[in-house]
Amino acid sequence: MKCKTLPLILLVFLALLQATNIHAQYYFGRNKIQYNQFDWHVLETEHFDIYYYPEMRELAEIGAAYAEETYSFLENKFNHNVLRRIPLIFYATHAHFQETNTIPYLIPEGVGGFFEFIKGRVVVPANGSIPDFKHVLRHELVHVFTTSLEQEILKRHRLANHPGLPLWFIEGLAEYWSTGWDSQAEMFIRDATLNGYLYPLNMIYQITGSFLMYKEGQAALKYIAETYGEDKIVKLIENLWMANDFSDVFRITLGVDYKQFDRDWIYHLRKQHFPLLKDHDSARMATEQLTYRGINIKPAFYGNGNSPSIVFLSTRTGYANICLAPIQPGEKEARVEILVAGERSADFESFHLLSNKIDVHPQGRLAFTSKSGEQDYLYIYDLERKAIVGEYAFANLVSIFSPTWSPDGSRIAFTGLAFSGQSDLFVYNLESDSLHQVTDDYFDDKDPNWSPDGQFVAFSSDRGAFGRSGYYNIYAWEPSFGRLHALTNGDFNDTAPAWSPDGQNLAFSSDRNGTANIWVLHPGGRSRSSSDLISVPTPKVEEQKSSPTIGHPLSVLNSNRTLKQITHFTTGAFDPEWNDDQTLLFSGFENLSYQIFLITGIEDLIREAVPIDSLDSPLLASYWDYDKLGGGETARAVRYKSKYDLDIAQSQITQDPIFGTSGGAQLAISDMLGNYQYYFLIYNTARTRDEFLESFNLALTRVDLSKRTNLSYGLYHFAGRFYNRYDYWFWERRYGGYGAVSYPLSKFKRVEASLNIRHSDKEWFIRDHRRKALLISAFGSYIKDTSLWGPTGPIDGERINLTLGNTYDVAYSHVNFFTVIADYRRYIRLSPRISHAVRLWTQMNYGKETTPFFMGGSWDLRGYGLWRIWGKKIALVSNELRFPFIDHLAVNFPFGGLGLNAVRGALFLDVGNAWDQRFEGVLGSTGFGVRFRFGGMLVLRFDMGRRFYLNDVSNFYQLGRYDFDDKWFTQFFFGWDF
Amino acid sequence: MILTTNGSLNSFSAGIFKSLRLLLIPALILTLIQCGGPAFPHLQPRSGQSWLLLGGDPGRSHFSPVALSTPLKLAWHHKITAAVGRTLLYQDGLLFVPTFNGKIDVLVLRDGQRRSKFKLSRSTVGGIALEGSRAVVLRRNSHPAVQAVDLISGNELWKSRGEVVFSEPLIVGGDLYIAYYGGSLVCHDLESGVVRYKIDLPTRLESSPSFASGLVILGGDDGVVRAYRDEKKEWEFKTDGAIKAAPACRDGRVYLGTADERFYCLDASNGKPVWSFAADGKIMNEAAIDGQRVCFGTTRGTLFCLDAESGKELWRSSAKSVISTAPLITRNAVFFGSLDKHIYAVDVQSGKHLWSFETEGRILTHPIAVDNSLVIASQPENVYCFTGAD
Repeated sequence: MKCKTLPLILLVFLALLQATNIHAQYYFGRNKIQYNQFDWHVLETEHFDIYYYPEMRELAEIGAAYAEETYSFLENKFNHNVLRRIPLIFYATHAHFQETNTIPYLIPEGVGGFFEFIKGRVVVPANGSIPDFKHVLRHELVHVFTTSLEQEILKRHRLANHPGLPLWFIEGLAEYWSTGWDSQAEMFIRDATLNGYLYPLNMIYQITGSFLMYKEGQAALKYIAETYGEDKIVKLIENLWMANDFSDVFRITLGVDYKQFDRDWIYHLRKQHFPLLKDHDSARMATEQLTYRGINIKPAFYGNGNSPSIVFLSTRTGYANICLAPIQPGEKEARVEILVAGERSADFESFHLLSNKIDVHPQGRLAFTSKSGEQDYLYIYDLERKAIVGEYAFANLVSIFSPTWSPDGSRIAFTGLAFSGQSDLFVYNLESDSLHQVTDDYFDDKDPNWSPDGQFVAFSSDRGAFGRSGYYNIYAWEPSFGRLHALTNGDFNDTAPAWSPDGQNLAFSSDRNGTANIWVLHPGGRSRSSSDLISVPTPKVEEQKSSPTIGHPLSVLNSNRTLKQITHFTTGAFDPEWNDDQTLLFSGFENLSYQIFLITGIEDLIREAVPIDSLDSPLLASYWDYDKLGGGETARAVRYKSKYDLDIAQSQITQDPIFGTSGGAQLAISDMLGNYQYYFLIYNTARTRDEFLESFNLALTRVDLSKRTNLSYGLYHFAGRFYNRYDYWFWERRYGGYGAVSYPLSKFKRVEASLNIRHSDKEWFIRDHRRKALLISAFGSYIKDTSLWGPTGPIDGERINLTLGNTYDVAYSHVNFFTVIADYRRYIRLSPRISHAVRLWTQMNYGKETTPFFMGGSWDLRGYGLWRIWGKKIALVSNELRFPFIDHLAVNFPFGGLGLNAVRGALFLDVGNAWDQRFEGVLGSTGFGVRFRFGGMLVLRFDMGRRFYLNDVSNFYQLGRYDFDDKWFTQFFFGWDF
Repeated sequence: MILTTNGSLNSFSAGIFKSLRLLLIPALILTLIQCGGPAFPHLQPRSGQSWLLLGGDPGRSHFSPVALSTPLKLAWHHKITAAVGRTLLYQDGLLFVPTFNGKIDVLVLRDGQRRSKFKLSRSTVGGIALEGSRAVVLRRNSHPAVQAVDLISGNELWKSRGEVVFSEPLIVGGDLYIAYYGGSLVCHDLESGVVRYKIDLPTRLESSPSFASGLVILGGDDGVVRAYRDEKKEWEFKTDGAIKAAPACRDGRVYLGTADERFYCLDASNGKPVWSFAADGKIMNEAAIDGQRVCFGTTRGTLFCLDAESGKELWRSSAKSVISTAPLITRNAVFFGSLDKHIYAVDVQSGKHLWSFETEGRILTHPIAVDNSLVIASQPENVYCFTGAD
């Protein structure tokens, strides 16, 4: 039964799994929800097929022009071309992008785009920023070219099994040739060098897949280009065939091995960055650090009576939360309270951690935004009552960022991202419940901040002359007159403006000197000349009124204004937030983390700082446009039609000493958008020639993921010999059809239903009995999953699967049973890295000719043989304490080394049993285990402990009645923690 | 054909034996061919009908005096057993095609049939050059790096260990010059293989050496062009970009392009720049020169034709993608291949498009024109021969 029926069960299960939610991990998993039915079109350019929807047509045309420009750029760089047409799939917002079916996985907020290998698709979301969109598009197209050249080289040399390029090279090149070298890369590498955590190339595998690896790869390639010549980058790919190990290819191409390169490169970085310490400081050494655990950013000051506090975004628990903490500088972190728990409920799916500010009104009201289902909501939270007191969503605004209160608390300005992908400034009037759009163009307007007198809203935008190159400068919108004023202007990034409480200073973060630091714009006296007003025309302004003849003191052309740098940190300072006129909060990047810091004595810092000599460039392009590639000779737009391509084709032959040989094949095809999928399975289990025809197993499944309700249906024919301890040997043939639906209630919960109708012809060999049946199975499930995962399994949240079903023989009444499956798992966080996991699990069949269940082994009742415990009903209670065991272990041999990271330990207690009619006795085990993740995907597990038994259940609470085995068991297997 | 072990014949009649003897030699030849050893009893170079090394001559001019009228006709298309290398050679009616699986296919130009095959090893064949009945073969990443083979007997004449090599060999006056990737320029005696001298340069070398005015001239990844007379450096000139292709030399001038998108003309006697030209893309392949004009292609898909004396642009043409071969100048047309799978022909005077042909893959092998035929190769395993329109 085990070996043969298992594949059958797996097949049916897999078929049902595909029918329910293809994206579920195991039978839990979160949900990818198709909130929108996009009307897909295709823009065909010279080299690309660009998939877009009409609402984002203009953005698609901008993307098309840039894609062709990038193609030409990369053709020149690689000295190579891509012969096939490249599919580009654009989404106007990240929320839309998260709905994509081009890959089955859920897409986290931090994923900016991807290139997938099966169909060679590049999938790129916009986020309101055209510079960001272009960067991601170019990054992914570098992958396309790299892969094309790599495959061409290996094909030319007939190397089918070559390991290929290392990930640090692939991602590093994509970053290097899409951004060059920017302040973010500078910040990361400076931080890694100065704080001693830079990984040399021969150890970079330890940070595979991390953002640090991206930046280190970028830095290494920059060094290679500067030292050995940029031509060596492509030469490294062209020489790939010369050795299986890339380090040998590296040595052949550059003439130095990894060890020598690391020595030279790291020395070069130290020489470059250590001298910075003469005139720059580490934020934690020069200011007061307020937070320590996790990532803590976007501070907002809260007076809180006599206990000044900060409200901020934090990932200290692993989930992103909005937290409150008193401002208490010191070595230890003050007590932090979670105000709003994120990433566990439908209301607070995501706070858009790195791109979304929060704001606290002096009256104690917090404004923040969160993804809640299909779109973002603006929330008002009362800090006294500790409760949400308002929630607002706006038609056509998919995402909302960085709300800021007007001084009187009646209005909130924010950045809104429309369905089209356009990002603009909006003002919501709480009293009149009206929304006003301030700007209306494809420029990205972000980080608004209301001045204390309510006269201006400062914000950061790429609308200036240097925006064409992707730079952001500071602007001020004057609501009374509907004018925009340019406050800074240059080829650098100025973001997150914040007015001081007295309105006299405007602080912001700027990377104009290499990395982000805090700068202050100081008026230095008002000018009364109207010629000092710089109005920047916009296509749409809320109201146009005549301007007074008072010059704006902060205007970039006002000769009285001064601009001073008040922090000189080695890495990065962001999101300044004034407490009072003397102290400032900010988020600082250090030691690969963001923390919140406090600066005091601002007035002194401003007085002592030297103003920059020259004011920003007076060149102000009033308005400029992005290049577009739309209809006409260069591009053609057509409506999308589903065309199917092969995704997977594989064949397999298995040989079992008992059950013989079987062989088969599997095909999967899908359309370009992944919305419609077909699976075809065929295999044969015949042991003799005359069994061949009747032993064919076929299954054909169609899955429709295009709508919120996922639908799956199919036909199948399965036949073969099976064995289980109830039926012993039997032969069964089943053919029929099934259908299943899955409806996600939210990202975390869903309901599923399936109906399976099949003819069953079963012959028991030992009983010499044969029966036929026409079986109808109907199942319904409720699934919830809010789990947070650690290296080897969940460490927080909970998972629930409750399934009820019935199987009935409508023709002969031979079979009739009712099924209950209940699986509840709760993970209780005891500390950041320690959790207590509890599992309550039962599976029961009641009725006639029921199917047995089984358990035993490393995945449930540990210490017992794998799937050796059978019964028509099973129950299990598991308790496991999960804790860190070994963080890093490196073992070096003469011929190489081995490294282990994140080895976790566990103490466990499992109790359960299986039965048919009556629950008799309890089986259990207790012990200790270790798990470690190998190669990123495979978790290896080792457990040791002692089995115990209790024959009389009435003595359950009497420990003395348990019989323990004398010997300890050991069990080694693979698989994630439950 | 029957021979006893002591070499005597069994008892056939003299007449039959005579017939058999007439068949013996060709059969022997055929047997040797099937075993991988070629036999070319008439392999003597004929003037004007050979292409013995990269560029057709030691100056790497990529010039052929043939005149091919367009539109060309496809005479034959042959599938090789592996990806074709960068250089095709021709001698005495036979086409030598190096491949990436260690073989050199020998095809008959007239009909494209395979005449023979050298199997040297499993490694990639890099550069190749012919001198009479001798072939010098470089292997990219294995030992021996250099092999001299007798084409008639198929025997190895000598071999030499070396390093990784991407360039093509240069044979001049009984000397063989090889530029190794690690930075060594080595001169062998062609007859014996003995190393006459070795010069270590402080750069990686991908560019093949050329010959002009008694000097061996080559460019390096450091952007420096160096000229040597025997072991002594005569001059050097620094450009701003890596030099990947062999300089083209003619009439006392040296022409080369760089990865920095500039094309240079230098005086061969002293290395002084005569003129330079800003192109629109990287120049990764050799130029072609016929004395009046010099042509080169770029990674932006542009073919430039400049006045050889002044450097003034005469005309430009374009392909849909990177121009991936050296151009070939003939009497009436310029031919060049592209990654867009096309071979193009443009008028040598005006640059006007005359003809193009789409092959099965990217074109990475330099075209040659011999005996009223144009021969090209495209990836992965195709060789095409075209003849002029009647």
